[in-house]
Amino acid sequence: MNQPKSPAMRRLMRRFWPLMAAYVVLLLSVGPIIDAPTASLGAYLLAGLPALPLVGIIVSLALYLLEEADEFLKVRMVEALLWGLGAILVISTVWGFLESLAGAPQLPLHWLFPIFCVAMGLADLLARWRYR
Amino acid sequence: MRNQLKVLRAERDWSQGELAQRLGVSRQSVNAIETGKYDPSLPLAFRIARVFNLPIEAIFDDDATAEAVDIGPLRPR
Repeated sequence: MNQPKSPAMRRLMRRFWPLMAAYVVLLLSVGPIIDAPTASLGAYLLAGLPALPLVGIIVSLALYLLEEADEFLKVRMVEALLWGLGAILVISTVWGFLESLAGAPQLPLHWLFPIFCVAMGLADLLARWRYR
Repeated sequence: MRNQLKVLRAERDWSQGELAQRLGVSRQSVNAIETGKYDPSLPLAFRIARVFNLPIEAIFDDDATAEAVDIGPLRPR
């Protein structure tokens, strides 16, 4: 069931979607600009550009927690954030050992943010079911 | 925590949405509190009490209240 969004959640969505769009655009445009991985300062700055909108999304989540006046919705968001953080901690720790000790393929670190988002989404579904 | 929210709401013929509006919270919050899945903070519990014009303990009933024992009269030291 689609539940009405609080003003703070509407503000979060207004911040989230432009940042996500900026992330996709930067991700698609920065790759072709940098032909091959180089260690120059320019390459570092360019390569870091797609991460900026993701940092913006994390800041938006923090702002949501500050702005949400509904304590129950705030608790639900904190629970979802903890699930997301827990998921990336567990996955990166376990995979780190697999990489170091068993020669597993390297897990690109920038995958952690999408994994965090998926875990948060699943946590939100779980919360909807728990508090239905 | 057990509570009388559903009964009190029914007595006044308020929907969850209507109570939520009076409290300034989401309908999901009212539902979660009503079903005992979420315990409100003290400020929200006071707001709920004011909306129903009742003392908090007439609405919320924790196990400690239900199992309270008589400790006898308090004596000055």
